[in-house]
Amino acid sequence: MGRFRARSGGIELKLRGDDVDALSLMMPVLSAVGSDSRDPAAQRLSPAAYPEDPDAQSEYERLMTPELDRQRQVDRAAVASSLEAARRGPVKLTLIEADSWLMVVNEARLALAARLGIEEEGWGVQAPLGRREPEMALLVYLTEVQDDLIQALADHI
Amino acid sequence: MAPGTVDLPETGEKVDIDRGWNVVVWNDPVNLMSYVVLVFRKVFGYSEEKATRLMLEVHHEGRSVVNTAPREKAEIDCYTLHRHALWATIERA
Repeated sequence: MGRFRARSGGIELKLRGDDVDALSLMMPVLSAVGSDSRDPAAQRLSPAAYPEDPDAQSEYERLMTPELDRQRQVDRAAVASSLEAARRGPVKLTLIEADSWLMVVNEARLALAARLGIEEEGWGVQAPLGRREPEMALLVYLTEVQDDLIQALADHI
Repeated sequence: MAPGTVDLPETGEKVDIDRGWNVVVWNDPVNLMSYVVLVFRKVFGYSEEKATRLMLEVHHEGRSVVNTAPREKAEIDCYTLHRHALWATIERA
């Protein structure tokens, strides 16, 4: 239902109050992705570039991980601030901010899916809605939101 | 002369030409097909047709080489794909 609309030079974000509440749930999901490498969500969000070469992998991590963490913090801050602003009315996102939204929504989806142990396609239709756990309901909801955003952003490429 | 090797005039020694590094994207059940296409278009500047073909290769074959480049460029590509939470790795071409 058009939460994101392509506008000249950016994307308009228009949310209902219950959208803002539901989207706010992404933040605790993501902040719980800690440095514990046994967390399946952490593994999924920072996959190995060189899974067969430990030396190359540790050098890659040394160079890239601090920047990846920093960029993700920037993305989350941008989303948190526009989400709060969206409570008061439509918000004009720059394309850079819309990109942050794209990545944060996707990170939250992948973190939820990793913790739910989803490994097969077709997960969205596996369980009737009423029996889905809260994490699954949030994952399904975020997938719908992401679909909206992808459609709006595709108009800008 | 075998492909990928070159005769050095001074020594006659054969050395491998660096064929570059492949950036590989692997299938996962959560990233949306439309998202993967959007990321390939955005990151590599590919046409919608090429991005869709690569996405379908990932989906059906389990993996696709989405770019081949010198090592530093391949690592930056891989980083950018990781930032978009795609499952990407690097291997010798």
